[in-house]
Amino acid sequence: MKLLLHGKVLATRDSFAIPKLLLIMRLTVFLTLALSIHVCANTIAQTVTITSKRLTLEGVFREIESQTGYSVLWNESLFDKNYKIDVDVRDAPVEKVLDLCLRGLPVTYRLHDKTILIEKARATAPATAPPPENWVQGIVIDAGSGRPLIGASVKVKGTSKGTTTDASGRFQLRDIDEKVTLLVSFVGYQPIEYPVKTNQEVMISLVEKPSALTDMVIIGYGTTSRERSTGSVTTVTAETIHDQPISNPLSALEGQVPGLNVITTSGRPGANMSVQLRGINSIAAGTDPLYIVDGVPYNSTPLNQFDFLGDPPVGDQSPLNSIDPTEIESITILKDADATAIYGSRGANGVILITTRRGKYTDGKLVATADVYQGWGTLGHRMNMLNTQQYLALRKQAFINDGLDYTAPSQSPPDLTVFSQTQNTDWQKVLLGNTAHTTSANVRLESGSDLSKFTLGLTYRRESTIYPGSDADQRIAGVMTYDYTSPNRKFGVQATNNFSYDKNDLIGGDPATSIGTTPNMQPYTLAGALNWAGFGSLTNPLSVMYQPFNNTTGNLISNAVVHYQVLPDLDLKVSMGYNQSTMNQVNTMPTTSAAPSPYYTPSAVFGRTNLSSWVAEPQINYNIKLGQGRLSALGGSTLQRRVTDGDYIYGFNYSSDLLLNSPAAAGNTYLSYNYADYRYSSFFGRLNYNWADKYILSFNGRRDGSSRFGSDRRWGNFGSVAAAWVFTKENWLETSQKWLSFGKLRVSYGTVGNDQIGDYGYTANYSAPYAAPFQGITGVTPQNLENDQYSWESDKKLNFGLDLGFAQNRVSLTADYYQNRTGNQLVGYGLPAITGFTTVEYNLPAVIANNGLELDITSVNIRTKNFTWKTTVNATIPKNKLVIFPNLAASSYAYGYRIGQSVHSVIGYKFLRLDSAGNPVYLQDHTSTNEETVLGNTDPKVFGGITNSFTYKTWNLRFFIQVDRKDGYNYLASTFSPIGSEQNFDVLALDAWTPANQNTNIPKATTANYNWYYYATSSANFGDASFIRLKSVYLSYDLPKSVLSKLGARRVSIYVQGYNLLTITGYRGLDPETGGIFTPLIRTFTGGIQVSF
Amino acid sequence: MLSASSCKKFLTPNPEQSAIQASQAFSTDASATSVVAGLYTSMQYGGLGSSPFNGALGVFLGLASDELNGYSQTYLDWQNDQFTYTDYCPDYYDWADTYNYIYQCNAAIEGMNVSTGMSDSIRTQLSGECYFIRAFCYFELTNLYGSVPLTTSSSYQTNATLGRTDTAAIYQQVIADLQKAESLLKPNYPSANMVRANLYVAQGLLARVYLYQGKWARAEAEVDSVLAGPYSLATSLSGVFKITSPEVIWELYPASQGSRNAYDFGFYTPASSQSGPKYYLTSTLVNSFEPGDQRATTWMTAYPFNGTTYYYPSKYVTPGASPATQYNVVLRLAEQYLIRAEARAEQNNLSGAAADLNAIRTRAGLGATTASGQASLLEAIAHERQVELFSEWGHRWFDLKRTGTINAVLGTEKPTWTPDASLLPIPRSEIQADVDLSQNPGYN
Repeated sequence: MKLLLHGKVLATRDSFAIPKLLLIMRLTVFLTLALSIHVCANTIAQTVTITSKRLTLEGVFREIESQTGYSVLWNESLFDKNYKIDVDVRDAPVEKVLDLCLRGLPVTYRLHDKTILIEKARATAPATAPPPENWVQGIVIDAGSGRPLIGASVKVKGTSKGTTTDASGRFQLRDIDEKVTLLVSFVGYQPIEYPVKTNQEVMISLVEKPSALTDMVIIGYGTTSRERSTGSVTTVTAETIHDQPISNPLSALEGQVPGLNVITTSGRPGANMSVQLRGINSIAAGTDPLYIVDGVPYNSTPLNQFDFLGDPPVGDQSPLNSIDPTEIESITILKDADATAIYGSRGANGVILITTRRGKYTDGKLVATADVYQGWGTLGHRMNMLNTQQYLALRKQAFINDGLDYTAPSQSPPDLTVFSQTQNTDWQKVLLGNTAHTTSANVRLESGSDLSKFTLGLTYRRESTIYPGSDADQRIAGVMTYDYTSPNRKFGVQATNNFSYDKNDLIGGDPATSIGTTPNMQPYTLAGALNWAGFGSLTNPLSVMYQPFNNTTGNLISNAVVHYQVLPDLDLKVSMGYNQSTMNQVNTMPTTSAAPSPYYTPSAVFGRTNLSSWVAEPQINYNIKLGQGRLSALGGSTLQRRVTDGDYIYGFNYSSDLLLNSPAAAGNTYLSYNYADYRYSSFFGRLNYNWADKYILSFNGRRDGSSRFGSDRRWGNFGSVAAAWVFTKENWLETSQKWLSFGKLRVSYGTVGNDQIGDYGYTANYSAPYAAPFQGITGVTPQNLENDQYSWESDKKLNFGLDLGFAQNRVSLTADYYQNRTGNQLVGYGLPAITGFTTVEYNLPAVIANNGLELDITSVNIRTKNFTWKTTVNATIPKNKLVIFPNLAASSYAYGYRIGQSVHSVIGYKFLRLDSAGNPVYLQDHTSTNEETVLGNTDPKVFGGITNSFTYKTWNLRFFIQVDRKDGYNYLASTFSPIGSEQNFDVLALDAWTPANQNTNIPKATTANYNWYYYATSSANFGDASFIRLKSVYLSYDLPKSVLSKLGARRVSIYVQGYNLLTITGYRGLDPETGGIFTPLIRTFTGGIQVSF
Repeated sequence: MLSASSCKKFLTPNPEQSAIQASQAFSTDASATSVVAGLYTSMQYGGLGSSPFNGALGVFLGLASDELNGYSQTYLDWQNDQFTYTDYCPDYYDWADTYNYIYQCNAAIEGMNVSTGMSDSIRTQLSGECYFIRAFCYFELTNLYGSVPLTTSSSYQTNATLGRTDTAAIYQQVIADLQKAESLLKPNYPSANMVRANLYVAQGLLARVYLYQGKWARAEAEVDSVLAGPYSLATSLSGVFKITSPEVIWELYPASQGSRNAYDFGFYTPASSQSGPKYYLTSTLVNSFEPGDQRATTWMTAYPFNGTTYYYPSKYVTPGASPATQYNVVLRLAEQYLIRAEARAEQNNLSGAAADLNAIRTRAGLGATTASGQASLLEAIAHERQVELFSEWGHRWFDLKRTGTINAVLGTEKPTWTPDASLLPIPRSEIQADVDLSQNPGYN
C-alpha cells in the first residue's frame, strides 16, 4: 500500500528513499500551513481550467495541484494508471472537475482543507464502527497543534501488518495479537513506539522534528510559512517562554531574538522593560514597538500615576506584566518594512504580535492540565562594600584632606560623632538579603473537535522579593478561547478573552539604591523600632518598609473574529477588539515611618488610571490565478480609539495613621486629573504574487490618520515592496547539488511611521495643575507652546535577507542586513527657557540611521532514536548613527549629540590622571562644557544568545546563555556625592589618593560635592559593561507511557529550572544589565510538575 | 469603509478634559481671570530650589550673602558663591520659571488685547496686573543676572534667538511697564486681602526700582503715593506678616493652601528635635542686632543642637490650624519707609530720613537713631535694612550690590568670594540652546 503525493519529483517514484522524504516534507509544510490558517489567509484559487484530451488521472491531479495549490493524495492501487479521459472545463470549481473525472470509478474524494484525498468508495458503515474483536483503532495527531496527521504510517512491531491514517488522521488495525507495540511514523516527525492492548482506542501524538523552515509564521493580518515569507520575522515559541520562571512575557525575549534588545530595568517583580527593535529610531518620540495581543493593539506605556526616583523610573510597572506568559502560544517579532508596513504609522519601531494559546484537536475529549512550580531566589551578585572600620577611616581622611575638623560643631557629621563607631550594618544583607519565593499554579481545561475548540486557563502566581518584609506581587490571570468552524468550513468564529488581576504591594522605591548607607548606622533600636537617633538629615533606608505601597492592576483583552467565505476565493473577515486596563495605586506615609517629630503629619498618595480602547478591523481577502502564479489580495481598514484618564491625589495633614487609606480623610488634598483621547483610522492593503513558490513579490500600503497631529497634518501614506527568490527551486541548482536543501534571497524596502508622542501637543493648553484655587478662582496656566504643523516621523527601512537550509534543513540559517533611516524626527525641540518653555513639539529634519547584521542559526547536531541535540544561535551587530542634524552646533542638542555618532553617545570628560593633590585631571578644562568628548556609547556592540537542547528518551535539558557586549557607566556614575562623603563605597575606594598613596587613579577622599559629578561621569567610570549570563536552565523528565497508562494520565512531567544562574562580567556595580545600584535580576531555582489527564 | 468626512470627524479627539485651549482662554472675563489667577498661583508653586518666588530667593540669596549658613552641605555652592549652573539647580529655576511667568504675562496681554468677549473694566484690571508682574519679573532677573534677554511677546520664534539687552534698557522696560500698570490699576484691590496688584502695589515696586536706579526724588515721590494709601506699620512685630496686616502692600496667595501656613516656615524649622537646623543665621547677622532689638527675639528662634546654639529666621510661624494665617509678603510698608529714608538722606533731607528710619526703629523697640550726618545716616539706614529685611527676597544681596559694598563685605566674610559672583551664572542649558546668549564673566 503506497500513499503518494503527486509531484514532479515522483518521476523517481520507484526509489522511495530521500526524494520521497523531501516531497512529503513539503506535504507536511503544506498541511501544517493549510490546516492552521483557516480561511483568513487563504491564498489558493479554487477553480481550474483544463482542456486536454487523453489525460491520465495523474495528469488531472497534477493540473489541479498546480492551479489550486491543493495537494492530491491517492492510492495507486485504486485505479488503472493508464486510464485516460478527455477533459474540457473552464474556471470550474475543483469539486466539479473531480466529480467529472472520477465518475464511474470505484473511488470517491474528500476535501480536507487544502488536501484532496482520493479513497475507495465506501459501501458499508463508516470506518469508525468498532470491529468485533482483536482490533486497535485511534487517531494520530500533531503534538504541537493537536491537528490530525493524514497519511501517517502505523505498523505493528515485528510483523508486516500496517496501515496509514485517513483524512481525519484515523487508523484501524484488525487481527492483531493481544499486546503489541505500534510503530508510528510520519515524515517530518519523530517516530515513536506505542504499546497497546487489543480492543483499545488510542490517541497517538507525534512530535515534529525540528526544522525551522517549516514553521508557520504569523504576519500582519495573516500567516505564511518561513519558506514563503518575504519579510524579516522571528518567532519565539511557547517552549522558550515556558523554560523560564518569568512573570512578564517580554523577559522571555531577552537575547532570543536577533535585532531585539530587551533590558530589564530592575529585578523588582513587575518592573518595566526597555525594548528596542533594531536600535533607537527616534530622538524624542516613543521607541517602543507596537504590541498587538490577539489582534488588539496593546498599550506599552506604564499606567503609573506616580513612581519613584531613578532613571529609568524603577517603580513603573510594565503593562505587559498583565499578560500571563503561561498561556502564550507564540510571540512574533516583525522587523523589516515588508513585515511592518501593514501597520503603517505605528510600525517604525517594529511590531510584536503576542498570540494566546488556542484549543487543540483532542477528538472531543476533555484534557485537563495542571502545572505547579515553586521557586527560591536570592541576590546573585553582591558588591564588596567597605566595612565600618574602613569606612570611618576614609571619612576621617576626607576631613583631613579638606582641612576640616569633623569634631567642630559646624561639622558634627552623625556617622563620626553620633553613631556607634563599632556597629557594622551590612546594608546589602539588610536590604537585599531575603530569599524571594515564587509560586505559580496553572490549570487548563481544553477540548477540541473537528468544528469547535475551547480552552479555559487560570494561573495564580506569587512572587516575593529579596527585600526585607514579605511583600509580593500576586497575579491571577485567565484565558478563555473559543473557535468554531461551520461544517461547510465557510464560516468561522474565534473568540479570545484574556484577563488578569495583579496586586503588587512591594516596597515603594528600590531599596538597592540605599546599599551605600553608612555602615555604622543602626537600622533598628534595641526595642526593635526604626532607629532615628542622631540621623540629622539622613534617612533610615528601612523607613520605606513602613510606607505601605499597593499597586493593583486589572486588565481585560477581548477579541472576536468572524470570517465568512463568500466565494471560493473571496473571504470576508471582521476583527473586533477591546482592551481595558486599570491601575490603582496607594502609598501611605504614616507617622511610624518617619523620624519622630512634632511637625510630621501623615500623608498618602493615590493614583488611578483607566485605559479603555477598542479596535474594529474589517478585512477582505481575494485570490486569483494570474499567469503562472497566484495573486492574493488583502484589503482592510482600522478604526481605533483609546481613552485614558486618571487622577492623582496627594492627601496630607492627616489626623491619624488609621485614616490614611481614605483620600477623603486627609486634612488637605492636592488633586490632578489627566485625560487623553487617541483616535486612529486607516485603510490598508497587501498584494502578494507567488510564482510557483519560487518568485514571490509583496506590496503593502497603508493610509493612516492619527489624532495626535494638527487637523491639516493627520493623514500619512506608508508602503513597502518586497521580493523573494527561492533559488533552490531553480532546476539548475536543484539538480546539481544535494547539500543545500533550501535557499532564498529576500529584499524589502518601505516606509513606516511613528506617532508615539503625547496627545494634544499641537495646540496650547491652559490647565489647572494647582492644588488650591486662587481665592475660589481656578487658576489655569499654559502647559506648552503651540505648533499645529508637525506630523509623523518617517522611517525608511531596507532589508536584505538570506535563508538557507542544509542537509535536508537539519541546519538552517537566516541572515539579515538592515538599514533604517528615520527622518522628520518628532522632538520637543529644545528652546531656551526665555521663550517661556524649554521645548516645542516639532519635526526636526534630522536623520538617525540604524544598520545591523542579524544571524539566526538552528542546527540539529545529533538525531538518533533516543537522543537529540539541537543548538540555536542568534547574534546581532547593531550600529546606530546620527547622520544628519541641520545646524546641530547651534541647537539645544549640541550638548548630547554628535553627527556620525550614536544617539546614545556618552559625553563627558576624559580622565587622564590625578594631580599632585589627588584631584582628577582631565584632557579638558573641566569648567568648560563645550570641550567634553564622546567617551563612547551605551548601544550594544553585539548581543544574542545560544540555546542548547538535549533530549534523551523522555529527558529534556535546555540551557540558554545570553551574551551582551556593551559599554556603560559603573555604579559610581549614579552616586551623588564623593568618596569620603557620608555614603559608603565599594572596597576599591580604599585605594583613594592620600599623600602616602599617590600611585592611584582614585581621587582623594573629600566631603565637598562640587566636582564629584565631573569625575563620576568622566571616562574613569565609563567602560566595559559586557556580560555573559547563564540565563536559564531547564531540565524535565516525562514519565514513560507505560507508567502513564497505569496512572491514567496523558502526561506527567517533572522539571527544575534555574534562572540567572551565573553572570560573567567585569562590571563594577550590582549588575551590568540593570546598571549601577538598582535591584538586579535575581538568581532563582524552581521545581515543578506538570500533569495532564 | 468610511467616507472621508466621517473619518475626519472620527479623528477629532475630545479635548483634554482638564484644559482650556489657547483660543478659548481669553474668550470671557471669567476665563481670562482664571488665566491671571493661574499666573499668580504659578509664582507660588514648587518647592525650595525649584521656584524662585516661593521663598527661594530669601534662602539662596541669604546663603550667597552674609545672612545664612546651611547646616547640610546641599547648597554649599551658594554659601561659597561658587554657583552650580547645570539644570535643575536653583539658579536654573530662578531663570527659567521667571521667564515662564513673563511668557504668561505676554500671552495674556496679547490675548486680552484681541479678545472680543471681555468687558473693558476687567480687561483694564487684568492687563494692569500682567504689566506689573512682568515688571516685577524683569526687576528680579536683571538684579540677579545683569543684562538679560528682553521678551515682550509670546512668539517663541522671535524669542528663541534673543541676545542680551542692556540693564538700562531692561530698567526702562520695567519702569514703562510699571507706569502702564499705574495707569490701568485702581486703588482698590480687585479681590480680598492684598494678593493681587492694585495701584499702590505698582507704586511700591516703582519706588524700589527708582531707589536701585539712584533716582532719589522719584523714589521718594512713589513712596509718598504709597503712604497716601490705606497702609500703616503693624504695631507689633508678630503681626507684620499676618494676612491682614495693615503693613502688607502685596503678598502672594499660597498655591497649595494648607500645606504650609507660612511659606518659609518649612525652610528653616528643623524637621525634628533630632535634626539640625536647615539654614541658620550667620553670626555676622545675629551679632548685628543692637541690644534690645525685639526683632532679635521675635523674628529669630534660638535652637540648641549638638552643643551649639543656632538661630534661624522665624518671621513666619509654625503652622497651626488651616486656613493659613500668613502669606508670603513681597512688598510691605517698612521697606517703603526705608526707601524714603535713603532717598531723603541722599537728597540731604537728613531729618526726614531720620524720621522714616526711626519709624522702623521704634516699632522694633529701639530708640531714635544716633546717626548724624549724611554718610553716617546712610550707614544706619543700610544697617536697618539688614536687620529689618533679613531673609526676605534677597534684599541684603541686592543692597550690597547696588551700594557697591559687596566685594568689601563678602570679601571679608567669605574666603571663596570672587567679584564675578555678584552676577549669577546664566544656566548652562540656556547658553547651549541660544547661541546669541553669552555667559556672565567668570563662568566659562
